[in-house]
Amino acid sequence: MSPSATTELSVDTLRAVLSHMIVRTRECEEELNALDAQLGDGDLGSTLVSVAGAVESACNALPQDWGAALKHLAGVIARVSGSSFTSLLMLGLSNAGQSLSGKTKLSAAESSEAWRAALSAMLAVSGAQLGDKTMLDVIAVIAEAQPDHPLVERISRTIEQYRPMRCRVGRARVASERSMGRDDPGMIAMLRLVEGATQSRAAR
Amino acid sequence: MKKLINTPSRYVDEALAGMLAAHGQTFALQGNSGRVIVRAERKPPGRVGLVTGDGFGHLPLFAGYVGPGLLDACAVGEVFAGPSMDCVSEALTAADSGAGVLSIIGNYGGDRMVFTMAAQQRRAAGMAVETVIGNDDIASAIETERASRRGVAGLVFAFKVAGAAAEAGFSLEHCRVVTERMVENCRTIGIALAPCILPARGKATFEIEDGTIEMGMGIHGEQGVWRGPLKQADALVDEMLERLTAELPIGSGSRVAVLCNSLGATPLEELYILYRRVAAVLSGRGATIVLPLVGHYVTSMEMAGASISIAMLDQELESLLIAPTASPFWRTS
Repeated sequence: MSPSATTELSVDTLRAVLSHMIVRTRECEEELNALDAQLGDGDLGSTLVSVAGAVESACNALPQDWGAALKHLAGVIARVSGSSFTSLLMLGLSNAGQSLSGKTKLSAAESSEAWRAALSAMLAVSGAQLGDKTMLDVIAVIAEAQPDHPLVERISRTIEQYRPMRCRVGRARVASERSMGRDDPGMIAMLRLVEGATQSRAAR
Repeated sequence: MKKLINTPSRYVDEALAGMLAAHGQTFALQGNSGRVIVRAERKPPGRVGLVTGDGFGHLPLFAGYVGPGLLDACAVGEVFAGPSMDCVSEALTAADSGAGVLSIIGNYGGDRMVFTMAAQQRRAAGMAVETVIGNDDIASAIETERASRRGVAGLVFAFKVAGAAAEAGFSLEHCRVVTERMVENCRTIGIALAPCILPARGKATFEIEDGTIEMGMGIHGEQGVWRGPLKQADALVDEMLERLTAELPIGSGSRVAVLCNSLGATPLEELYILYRRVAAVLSGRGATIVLPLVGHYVTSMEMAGASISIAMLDQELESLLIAPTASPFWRTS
């Protein structure tokens, strides 16, 4: 996730972060399935767990170049999953990778820039807009966050703000009445991934 | 959960293996993903290739409509979860024989994105790729938001028209135009009586009380228009037709195709009870049903319920719809 202002992150750190995100994903499988079942078809947790398994196998082979590493991860997702959530993750990783090509150390500013590159590609392909109550609204929070921001709290607050609203795009859109008062499964999934990532930071 | 399976995680692969074993003259499996269904015998080169893809659990949709006179390749995902981008990319490549590829998909978020990205990737490699998106389910959005409606049973008509057009040697652009016109002229509505069970989760996709039905539910259990007590079949058909014909100007002299489709558990007997009423009402309006399809065409595993699709035909669409196929799942006589 976002590095602190002074430190620069290597792909080794990414590997550590990913391992915590994978653990968190597995912990949340049932929660995400149940949440998705209220608005969609109830497979978000299982989908992410299968992607997590593929990412885990790929972790040892990650190149030291941030651009190549993120594109490698995008390739792993392209091979194993085609849900809207994972397709957007793949697209985001691939575009973030493009913006970080050739870099082995990542500053906070470069990280934010990569998140913004990811976000704009994800907005373009999905047809969603910020404010539509999707995972992209969480990614916008991450992209704008400063290193010293408590990211999990900020995302939780964002999710709370969106809770009373309707989902306007995606599968949850067709259940838009039902979506009012409920959290968007994709937003919660992003929160859980960030929780995993920040656990890793705490562990260091 | 009661299902005739071995291992939930092998549901898709074992079903595909059985399809190949039973219909080896029609289907073959291809690709690193092991999830691209292609024709056992490719059509002659220089014809437009046709591709579809989506989650599994709707047979004969999607993979079943690969075959002579129909599609060339299908990217198969998991149960109710779309195929990966690599799988779609492999399907596009498999279907291309130099005249370009038309994808026909069902307007589900993941599929749209994966097909868009795979098409971008193939185009960068020099392939011509066009996409037609089915949106026949009238219950999934209001008419002014047609572009956001889901593609359901009406996709079968789009596949058939595209298949005949490609077989006849039409250009990619011509194939796209006739297929889009078929989508434009087709509407579907479904009713659900009971849910299906996802093999990996062992749970029903939705809950519905005994004696209750849902009008307009989608093929993954997406919410419909209303939920209420079961009514007599004729009353249900009348409402479904009223909703469909509100958007289709069917009158004296209209020529239409009708698909009276089981969502899985609903038997042929009940489909015929529904179809009997459909035929009476449409002929009462002076329309001629030139192609009546009654059976399991687009399902949701063991979901109970049915859908009715109507497609208004012009001369070209009619001739493409009735052109011959050798698919085990397109039965017209």
